[in-house]
Amino acid sequence: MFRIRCPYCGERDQIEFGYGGEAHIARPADPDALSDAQWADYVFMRTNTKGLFAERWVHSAGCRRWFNALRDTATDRFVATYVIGEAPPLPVPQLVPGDQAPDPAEAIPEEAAGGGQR
Amino acid sequence: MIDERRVSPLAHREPLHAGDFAHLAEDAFRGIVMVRAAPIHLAAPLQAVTGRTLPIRAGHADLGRRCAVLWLGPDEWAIMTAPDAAAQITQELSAELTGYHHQIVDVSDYNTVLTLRGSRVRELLAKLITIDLHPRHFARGTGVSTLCGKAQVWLVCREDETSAREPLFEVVVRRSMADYLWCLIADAGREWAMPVQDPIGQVPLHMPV
Ligand SMILES: [Zn+2]
Repeated sequence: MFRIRCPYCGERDQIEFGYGGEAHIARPADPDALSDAQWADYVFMRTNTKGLFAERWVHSAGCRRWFNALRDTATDRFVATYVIGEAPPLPVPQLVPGDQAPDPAEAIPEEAAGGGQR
Repeated sequence: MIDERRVSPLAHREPLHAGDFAHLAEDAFRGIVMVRAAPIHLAAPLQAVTGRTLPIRAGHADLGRRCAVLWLGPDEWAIMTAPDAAAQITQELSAELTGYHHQIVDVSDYNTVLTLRGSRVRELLAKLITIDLHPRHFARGTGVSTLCGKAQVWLVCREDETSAREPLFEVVVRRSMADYLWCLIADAGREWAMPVQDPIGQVPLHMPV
């Protein structure tokens, strides 16, 4: 059992919260312009960080608001929580340009990346 | 319009007593109105319609004889009022907020209110709720949305040890979870000889380990 600080309600037990996956993934402005591989990358591919990780949580049994959290995936310790729209209070590796996995559309031929029929 | 044939979610239950330690009852047909709006737009209309001050701090409720206003989120509140008063409040508040982005919904029929009073109710509720219920932390005018067992509830402290002889809590729960919550609270009160209540359909209160 551990406690999570909701940015709106304060500290509450973890059973009141739900997990929402990696944070700060922007929906592509023009999905029609993307290849299937690029779209699949947006929908499915997530960084698999060991260490500080920005992720989304929802206080489902409390104020029912979504917020972002920085959690250390190695120790399961919550370092910070902050409201949606704010920048993370600490630098996180997943948001550093060039530190992410290469774009699969560039790295792999499209058929191999599971681009599908069109 | 009130339908005279209406049945409250816990109409099949009778109030329960565990000596002077805890008393459980349903406060049926209470009016409950959910309000979403920007606090800056809502504060004055709310004052005009209900006479209450908009609570802007998390976990607080402004209690009054006719109405209580409970903080639920940064732009969301619940108004708890007398039976049959919800429709008028909904109407008046909607009129006052015309032109502002808002949502006002009468959810009276969707919920019911359990009242729990007695000298040991804090200890009883502490078995089911993860929030600190010590009188210093959860005094009169505190209200939160949280989990009570598996049911999502709003818990409001209406009276505490300084304002009354014994604390009084209100637990607001959705209709479909009301019987489960009733039986769960009775189960938590076994220590003080609260009568056992069998859940409708014999659904087990606790998952087998
Ligand atoms: Zn919250």
